[in-house]
Amino acid sequence: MRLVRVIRQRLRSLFRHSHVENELQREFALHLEQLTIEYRSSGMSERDAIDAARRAFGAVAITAEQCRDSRRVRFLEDIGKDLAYASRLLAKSPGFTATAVLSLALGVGANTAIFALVKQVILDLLPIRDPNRIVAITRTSIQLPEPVASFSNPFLRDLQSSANLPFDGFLGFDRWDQIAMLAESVAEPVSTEFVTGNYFELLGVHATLGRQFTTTDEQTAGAQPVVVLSHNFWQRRFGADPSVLNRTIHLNNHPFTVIGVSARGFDGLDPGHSPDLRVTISMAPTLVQFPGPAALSNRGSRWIRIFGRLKPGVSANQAAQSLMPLLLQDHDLDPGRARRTEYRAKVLASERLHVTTAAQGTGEQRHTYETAIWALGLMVAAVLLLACVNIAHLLLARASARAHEFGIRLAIGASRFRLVRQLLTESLLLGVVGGSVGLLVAFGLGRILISLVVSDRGHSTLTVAPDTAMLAFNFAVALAASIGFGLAPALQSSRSELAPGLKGAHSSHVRRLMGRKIMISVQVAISLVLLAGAGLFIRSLNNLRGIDVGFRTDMLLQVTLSPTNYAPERLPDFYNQVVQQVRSLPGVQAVTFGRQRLISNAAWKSGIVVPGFTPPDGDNGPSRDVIGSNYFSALGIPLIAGREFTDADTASAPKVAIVNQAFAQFYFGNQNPLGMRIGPGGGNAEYTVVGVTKNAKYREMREATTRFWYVPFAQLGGDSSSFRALTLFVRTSSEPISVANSIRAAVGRVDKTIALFNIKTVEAQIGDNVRLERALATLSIFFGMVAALLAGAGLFGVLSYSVAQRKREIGIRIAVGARPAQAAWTIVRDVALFVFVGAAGGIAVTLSLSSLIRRLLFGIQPNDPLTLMGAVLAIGAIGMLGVLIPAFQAAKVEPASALRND
Amino acid sequence: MAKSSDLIQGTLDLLVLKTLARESMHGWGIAKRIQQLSDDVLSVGQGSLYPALYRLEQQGWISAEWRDSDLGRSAKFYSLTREGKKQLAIELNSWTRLSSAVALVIQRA
Repeated sequence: MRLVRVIRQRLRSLFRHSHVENELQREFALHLEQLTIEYRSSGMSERDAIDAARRAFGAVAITAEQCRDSRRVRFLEDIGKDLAYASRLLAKSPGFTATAVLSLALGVGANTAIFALVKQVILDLLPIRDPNRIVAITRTSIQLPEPVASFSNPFLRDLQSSANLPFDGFLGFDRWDQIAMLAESVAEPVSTEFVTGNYFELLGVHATLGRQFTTTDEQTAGAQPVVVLSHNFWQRRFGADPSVLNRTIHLNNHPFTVIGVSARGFDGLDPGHSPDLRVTISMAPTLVQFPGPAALSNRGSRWIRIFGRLKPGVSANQAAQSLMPLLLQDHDLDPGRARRTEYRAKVLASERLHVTTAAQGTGEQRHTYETAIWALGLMVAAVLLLACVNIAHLLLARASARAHEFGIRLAIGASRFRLVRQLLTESLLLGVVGGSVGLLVAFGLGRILISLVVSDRGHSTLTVAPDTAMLAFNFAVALAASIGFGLAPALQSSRSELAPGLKGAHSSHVRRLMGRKIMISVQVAISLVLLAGAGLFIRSLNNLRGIDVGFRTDMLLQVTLSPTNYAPERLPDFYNQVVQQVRSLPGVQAVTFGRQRLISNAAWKSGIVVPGFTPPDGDNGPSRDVIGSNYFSALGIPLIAGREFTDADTASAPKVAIVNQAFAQFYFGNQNPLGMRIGPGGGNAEYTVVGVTKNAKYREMREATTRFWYVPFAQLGGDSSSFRALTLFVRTSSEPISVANSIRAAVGRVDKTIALFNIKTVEAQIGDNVRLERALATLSIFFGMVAALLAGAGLFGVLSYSVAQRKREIGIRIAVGARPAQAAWTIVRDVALFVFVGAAGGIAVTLSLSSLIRRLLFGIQPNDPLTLMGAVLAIGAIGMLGVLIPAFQAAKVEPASALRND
Repeated sequence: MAKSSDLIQGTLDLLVLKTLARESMHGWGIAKRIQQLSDDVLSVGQGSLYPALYRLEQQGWISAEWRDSDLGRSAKFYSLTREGKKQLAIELNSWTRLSSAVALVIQRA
């Protein structure tokens, strides 16, 4: 009962504020009136009675205030008032507000954007049932000490059919990006994943539409052409049309029936790449011609990734141990056993299985981005810190400027706590506004980040979508920053002494400036770290760009064709026709083809037979390419000796090969390579070397020099079934992309069911290859500049404030004979030490971060003295700008006017 | 001038509650009544009376309503609530114990 009454009272006080206030005034007025009547009746005049009553009643304002205090809603009321006052104040000084809000928004927004990436790449678990029990199976051996994730189909089936393993089940999957889908009239490339029938069931992922695979869908190899679309692809390609169910689409010219659409948000087990559709592993050989032994039945054909679901409470080690007998059995059953070399036997004996948690999927995306993301995280944290320091600068400067106001408020009885609360409310408001703008910055910056970092946007799952975690992070950071850095000025000004504040003298500010100078050191240090990072990343990028790839990259287009349903003997004819069609297009200078797509992270190792040469154990052999005629002249790879392949090197002509310098050096030493005979591993040395080329970059920019050899496509014969998908290289005389469409049409004239994969200029391909480095360089320049700007502004602010405060002192000095330069020096000397300390600290921090940065650099050490010097110089230059103007102001102080001012 | 400092806060609360126990009254009336009953010894200053009234009201021991008054216009009348009566009993009890204890000490010292 009493509680109800109390609450009602408080609510009334809070929400019927003016009414309650009115009652108070009326009550007091009545009381005063009665007092007056009393005094008058004792014989006083009207006027004296009123005065006497007023005196007797005492200070109305104070009594009223005490009554208000006893209402107990004072605190809330004050917050409302503080907020209103703070907003008025912020609106009144738009310059300050804009600077503070923008600094904070930039700092917070950058951090939120990176947080969104960290969350998706590093923190998020797969959106499946109980992801913590999902594990990846890998193997290592003395030959391949890094875990390898590919296994044969028979081994996968062994695992699935074994009883008594501590697993609830095993699934297999593998992605194949170059499948041509024919849904309407034009073939289009789709990214396809081959999965086991139990894939969806074991992961606990449900269908959005229709059904998903079951184990019965893979009972007969090659005879159950069904396909499940990913939600992403269903929306993107089919506009989320439900009638796609039971439709027939052609994949590599084979009819498939769409049986379902998988769950929204489920992007597969590699979060970096969401496949467009899935078919069963049993259909893989129908769709794709695997080089080498039979894809489904041969134990030597290892191409499938295996994931398992652990039974509860089983450790990874136990699980790995339990699988070893199956691996040994696999080695025994391998039909290639009879032909095993001694080394191969040793490799197999050293093979071990590993079970690692895969709650986050394959971890490939994480592996690609993790270091870069941490580096970026450090950068944005530094920017945030700088922004905070800047805000503290601003608030301190303002607190000093408001000393007068606080003096008055303290004088009329405000408590220190009350003043601090007012200032904190102001920071809080700043935090909320800055955080909101920061959210916008986060979205903008997040988009830029993703476009800088991700090359295949269509299949990437990285987004900046607002979720609870992101919003919570954003505002937590904004409020922590604004309150954390609003507190120091708040505490400082609450210490403000009454008298000097009112008199307008600023004797107490010397101490206050100390804090600001220390902040200058911090700012200089942080900016230096960021600028040094920017320098390192730029130079690293330049090193990468400066690499001689060994071929001419300008105006060069590469496009991969995949004529999967051609009989091997028809392939040479097909490619010759394509080359002829494309060669006759306007704007095309030269056309050739080869198996190796340049600088796209793909490589194809081959065995080698060189009579009289035994490779050392563990040697991985050279790489081989099968190419068309005029390959080297079209790509601009210089020949050092001999000749290149021509149209005369046909199937019936003597077999010829071309090797690169590294190959010749490794296998022939100082002998003349021309005329030497070599052959593919396991075959005869039936190819005669007719040419030697300069070394080039083949797989990627950073690779070490690779041994490479080439054979003419025309001379492969029956072997060519392994080399259906070849890449066409087109050298153009105008902008290459403008020729893309006519190339597509030209290929269509040969066969309209052939899809063109990855039409891209080689320059764009190289851009993709150095994408991370470019992103880091771009972002670090941006953040470095922001940092330097903030530091310069901080320096400028502190110095010009100090000039304003010490005007009288400087005036006196000049009056008694100091030269202007000396006056300026008085001011500069003040901060020089702090700038130096900051610079030294920055260098120390940069050096201590070298182990993190080293992995991201190419061809430059993280402690590169030139770069560090450059950063120091840059900071020096910006510092000078921040110092010069205030120093000039100091030098120009007019003694007379400075002294008169007081 | 009001001798408000002479009145300990708890005592003022007790006096106000006791005054209101008989009938509801406005602020001026409460001040006058305490003055009269104490033979002009206790003069309650407005500076202490009104904050005390607001405090007692916030605690739910007295309630207030605007009514026509003997002063020729409407005034805010305070009256004791049920909880206020209980509180009065508690405060009276402790006052009696305190004052008799003080009296004992003065007698025997």
